[in-house]
Amino acid sequence: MATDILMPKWGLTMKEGKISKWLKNEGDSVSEGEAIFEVETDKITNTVDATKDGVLFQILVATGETVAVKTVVAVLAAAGESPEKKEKSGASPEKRQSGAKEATSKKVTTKGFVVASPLARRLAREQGIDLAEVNGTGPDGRVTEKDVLAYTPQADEYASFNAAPQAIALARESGINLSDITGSGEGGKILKVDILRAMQPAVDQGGAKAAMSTAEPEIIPFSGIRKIIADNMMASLQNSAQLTVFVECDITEMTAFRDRVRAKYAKREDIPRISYNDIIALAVSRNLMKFPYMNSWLTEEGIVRHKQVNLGIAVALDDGLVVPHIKEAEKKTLTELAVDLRVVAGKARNGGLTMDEIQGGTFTISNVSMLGVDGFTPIINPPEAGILGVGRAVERPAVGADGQIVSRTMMTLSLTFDHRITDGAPAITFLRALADCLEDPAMMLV
Amino acid sequence: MAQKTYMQAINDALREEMERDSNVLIFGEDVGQFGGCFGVTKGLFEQFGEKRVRDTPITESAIIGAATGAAAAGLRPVCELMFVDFIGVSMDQLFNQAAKMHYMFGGKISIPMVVRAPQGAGIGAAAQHSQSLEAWFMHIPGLKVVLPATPADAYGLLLTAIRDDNPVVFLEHKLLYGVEGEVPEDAGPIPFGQANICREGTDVTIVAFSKMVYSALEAAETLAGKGISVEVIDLRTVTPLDIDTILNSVKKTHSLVVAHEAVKVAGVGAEIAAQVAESAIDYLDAPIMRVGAPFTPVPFSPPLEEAFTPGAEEIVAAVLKIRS
Repeated sequence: MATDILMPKWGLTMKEGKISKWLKNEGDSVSEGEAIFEVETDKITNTVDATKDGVLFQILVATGETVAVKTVVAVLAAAGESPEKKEKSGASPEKRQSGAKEATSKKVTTKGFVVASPLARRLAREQGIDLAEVNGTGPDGRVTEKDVLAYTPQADEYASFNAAPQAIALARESGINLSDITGSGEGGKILKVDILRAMQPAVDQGGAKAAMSTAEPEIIPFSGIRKIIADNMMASLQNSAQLTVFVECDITEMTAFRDRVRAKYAKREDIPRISYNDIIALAVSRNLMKFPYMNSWLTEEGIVRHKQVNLGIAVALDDGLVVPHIKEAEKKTLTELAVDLRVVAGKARNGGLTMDEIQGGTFTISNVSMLGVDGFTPIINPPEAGILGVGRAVERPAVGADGQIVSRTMMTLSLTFDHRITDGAPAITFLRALADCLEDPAMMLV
Repeated sequence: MAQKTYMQAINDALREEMERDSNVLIFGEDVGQFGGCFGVTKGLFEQFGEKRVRDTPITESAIIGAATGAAAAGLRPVCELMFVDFIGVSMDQLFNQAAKMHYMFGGKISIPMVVRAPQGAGIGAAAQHSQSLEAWFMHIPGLKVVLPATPADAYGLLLTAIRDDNPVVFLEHKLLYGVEGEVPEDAGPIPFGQANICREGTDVTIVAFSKMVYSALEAAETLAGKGISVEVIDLRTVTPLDIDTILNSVKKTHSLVVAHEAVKVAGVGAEIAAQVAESAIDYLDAPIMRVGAPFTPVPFSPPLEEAFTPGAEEIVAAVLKIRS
């Protein structure tokens, strides 16, 4: 029996999702658990898996379209079955554009109600035209029948081609004219690979074109998680008063502490090998309870001081980064934190994070120590008040108690804070307290 | 094909029905020897005698009450009110007796009566002799309401009214009595509930009745000069209402103006606008406009009466407001 495949609802706040990629084509066989399509929300990109074996019978929502959660996006048929085709859900032309959510909500707030005659409304509805795009020439600017009939949407020159949805999406994003492409698929169907080939003529077509003196640059579509990160980072920098303070701390004691913990749990398979990062996470979660202004959000209601620490941890991915968090980190022991950190980082890298694990963090740690740099200026993950950057641990000469030069393990912490929420002195006090805990882990008991 | 006045056409219809059916008789003030206040019943007293053309006392309640009783007893009275404005004193006889009996007796009794009454402004007769009250009657189930615009319609619709087995209110516009028009020699009854499309057009529908039909046609001519093609519908009867003809026209033109001389507030136009909005909102390309008199008694002063009475100019303005 045919099964409807729905736009998933990840977390309470998810209202709509954009299909960023179909991983299967119509007619492809799929097996249970196999990823069928990729969904992008304003927080996360993730895949949706088939709930049973079958054939992807019909795709109802094309790549790049945004639909409400629970909307039927495709039909999965049993092998050999051919159910009736469903009507495609017509997303408005505006929704077909990328960045749908921001674009839509902005349009609603800026343009509001469109004055249009009922007939114009009906025609627009039937033809999938967004009335806000139609120029009204009736009395008082009313959109009338004539205006709707005169309206020509930006022609979708892609729709008429025999091309796979991914190929169309890629061509659209890259501005490639499909009429220039020779399809290599069945019946001349244009496939994604044909578009990729067209994008890199020097590589694939060899010979004459390769001889050209200028190597054609590669165009990477500015979309998906890249676009989400870009938007969030720009929004953070534009909408907050952030600055960064640094402290170099001597973590020789912490290294010794780490080694003692490692030695103690060396045989325990359920406890991971403790890292600097775990100890720093512990120190941060404890200190945030002492410095609640750093564990805050700035929202429209005011400054929200959280009573628990949802500790975010930035995880670098091949094509971006994501910040899952650990809830109630302040209540967790070092070994519990170590386990949880590895679970969320694993989910971040392999997929499977839920919206609830991404939304609601109260503070973030960005650890770049493995990359071999010291201080940097991390960008706040809004609406949080701060983000801690962790630099590498490195042996450096230091002046010992008796004036002797000794070798110590040093690490630079970078704290970016939002000066709207707190001021320099309190933020620096927090950073110093954190450094004290790293220099002498026993301070965490105080 | 004979050229007749509206008044002559009504007189002919009365005469022919009285010749055809001896149960038809006339009640009214000065309808006998005098021939009626406006002269509509002229010559009938002489032809049919005082038993069938009866002058009554000046009491509308008695006229309509007697007609209701006569109709209940099997006669087919046609009573005339000198002005529709006087209907108020016979309200109970008309609304509560004549209109209800057929229903309250389970269809065992019929009230085949016609109430003829002139209405409308334009002769300087002031607030108590100039009203247009069709909406009152339209609101009462059990009454049919007829408003002919032309001599031919006055003739054919009055035949139908007299032959109808239950009460009909037949409203004649006093300014139309002298209007001439062709009435075919073989003209017969015109069925109720069939609107007449007097002019075909594609851009806007004007629904009118009675004297306002002439204003609508004049407006259509003016608008044609401005490149707007107007369809004019003469309803002829407001109960029964030919909503289908209106809807079909609106589905073609996508805009509607309803014009009547009665005050705009709670008038026939309001009912038609509501029905069209309920049934065909998705076909409307503009707001529905109503043309009607201002919400005030009809003024006595001729310049004020002229200003009060809506006509072609107001219809043109309404159309231009939605179709410019």
